[in-house]
Amino acid sequence: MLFDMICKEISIEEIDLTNETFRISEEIVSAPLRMSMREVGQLNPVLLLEGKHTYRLICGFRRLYALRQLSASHVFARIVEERDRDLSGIFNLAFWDNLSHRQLDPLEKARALYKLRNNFGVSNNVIIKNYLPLMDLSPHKQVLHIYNMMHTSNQGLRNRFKAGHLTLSSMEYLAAMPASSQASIASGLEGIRLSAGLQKKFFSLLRDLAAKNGIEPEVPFKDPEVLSILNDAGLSPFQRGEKVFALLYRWRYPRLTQAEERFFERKKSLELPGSIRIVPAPYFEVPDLRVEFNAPDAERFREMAAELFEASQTPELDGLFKVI
Amino acid sequence: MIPYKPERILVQKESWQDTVTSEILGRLPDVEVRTVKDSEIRPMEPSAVSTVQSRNKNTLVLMRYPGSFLKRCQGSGADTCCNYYVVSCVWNCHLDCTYCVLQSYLSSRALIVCTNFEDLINEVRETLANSPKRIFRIGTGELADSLAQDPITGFSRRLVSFFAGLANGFLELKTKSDCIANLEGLDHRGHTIVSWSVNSKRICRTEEEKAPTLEKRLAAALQCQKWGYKLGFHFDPLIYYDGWERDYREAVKEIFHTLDPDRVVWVSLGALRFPPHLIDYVKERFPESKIPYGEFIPGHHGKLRYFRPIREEMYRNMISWILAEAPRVTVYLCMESFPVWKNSFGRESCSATFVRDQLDKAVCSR
Repeated sequence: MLFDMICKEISIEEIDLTNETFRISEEIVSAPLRMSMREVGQLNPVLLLEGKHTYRLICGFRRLYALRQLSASHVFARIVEERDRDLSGIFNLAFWDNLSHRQLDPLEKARALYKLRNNFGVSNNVIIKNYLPLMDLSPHKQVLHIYNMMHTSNQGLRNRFKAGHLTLSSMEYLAAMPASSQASIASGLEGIRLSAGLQKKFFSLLRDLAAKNGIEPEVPFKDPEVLSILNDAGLSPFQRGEKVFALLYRWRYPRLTQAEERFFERKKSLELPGSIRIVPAPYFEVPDLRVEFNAPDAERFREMAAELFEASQTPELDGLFKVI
Repeated sequence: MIPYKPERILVQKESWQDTVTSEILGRLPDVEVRTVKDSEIRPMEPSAVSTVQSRNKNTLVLMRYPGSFLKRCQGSGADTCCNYYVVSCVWNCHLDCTYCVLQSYLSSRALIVCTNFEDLINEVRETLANSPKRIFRIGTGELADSLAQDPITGFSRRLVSFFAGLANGFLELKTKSDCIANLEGLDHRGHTIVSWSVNSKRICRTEEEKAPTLEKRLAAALQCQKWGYKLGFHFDPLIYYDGWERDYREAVKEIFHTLDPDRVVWVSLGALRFPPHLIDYVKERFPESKIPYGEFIPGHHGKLRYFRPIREEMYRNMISWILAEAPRVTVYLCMESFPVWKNSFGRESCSATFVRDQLDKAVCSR
């Protein structure tokens, strides 16, 4: 034992509830924990640091919150005295307590890493070597850098991440942006939802457009066309996401998008039935077209071949080969 | 140009027996030298799949290459290929152009010089002797700049003299440098083409920062012209940006107003293309570069290329500007498809045989 184990009941009023020096948990509201407390009471003591006039909470933020919700006046606690350890050593207690019984989510990892470095003076090298592997993170400087930025990232983005609306890689990308960009993008993202697969492409387009045009990455969100999509109440958040993505894609690849649109229009002008598919070569790299149809019998085959023959006699067909 | 000066030299044990080694070390008397084992060398070969990235270009490695030196150019996979051959006795380049494929292609960042030069010479001699009726155009600029390290290697003097004696062999020294001193006074007999990779002044300034300016490259070309060498130019990579037309047209004019157009045997055009993963290298190493933000699509061999109309627009314009200045010069495209050749030149005849014959004729007749 490195410190005396003193356990006693402490009045919740004696605990400085505003002090979150040792907090790691991102979410302290836990309905199952509250239910458990209500049914069988507090099973494990919280860990408190004894101060001159008040106690500081080291471990047990969720337990204490649940007790307060149940209007409890006292909490069963183990007391640590500051003379027992330095503050980083005390934070280690919170760290290991959390690590011993659950997986930290990415924002909790970010919070712990940020505190180790910025509040408790643990060196980058020690964090990278000792702490990142404990959290299943690669022991690299860049990883630490990203997680530190994630901890200080915009609250709106953090909320979207917690809600599962942003992937970890999207969050990492957004966290690296200046605060003002994060705020604007968080606000822009409010009206849209992007599938995990689309997020990578979406943010990649934002990044490319910013670098290409020498603008901040949030600028596209201020464009009137984007705003009109974001404000279109007739669309679902996912539909808005797809439409904004399509617009960004068009800005990033203007000539390719125009060619695709021309092809679509000219194909439409041939007035072929939908069962006959005409497909251009990928990215129009060669002018070839591929024609496909399925025919269940000879009669249907003849019908579609006749449709194709009719289309082949129109000048619109030539246009299809001159899309670019 | 910033000359290449290594901080350390690693010499493979067997390489100590080669004249090339002693010559190179003699030119770098104050650089630390260490003998290394084969096991340290093997991962550096171009064919090695390796993550050896620790050694930087300040390390010069002198080693023997056990493989074949003479290879067909990688463009041979394209629809219309010019049938070019390459020999690579230096791997890597210190000029660090932002778009350079070598930064992701080679397994080592060290600059490597192959010291078994005699093997290269013998291989070329034998191959050419086996096909005496065929013309071989052979370049050394695939895995390195042909002349940027020449002050240290001195390879150009050996190669030029060797090719002068080959009836069916023509050497192309392809460079961005102005390191031409070794070419003076050689009896090349018209079998060496000194060619420059050129670009618009803006691209030279922003993406080829360590290479000589266009003016300096042309001054070097002018000197080579005075020494009787045939000349070539490669607008490769052509890079698309707002205002490219004005800048590239100016570069074309500058070339042909500086040099005698009749001494220029060929001009090649190649729009920027690269393996997809190179984009991440460029973004990381050269964050100011705008190159990664072009309108690229995955094309031939999975490489990223400009969308076809962009390439054709560039080629069409470049061809007309070049032919306006030098009507007799042979212009060709590098690694392009039939449709692009056809749309760029406005003619049907663009088969590989046609292109090969045109280039062979150009090199033999000038």
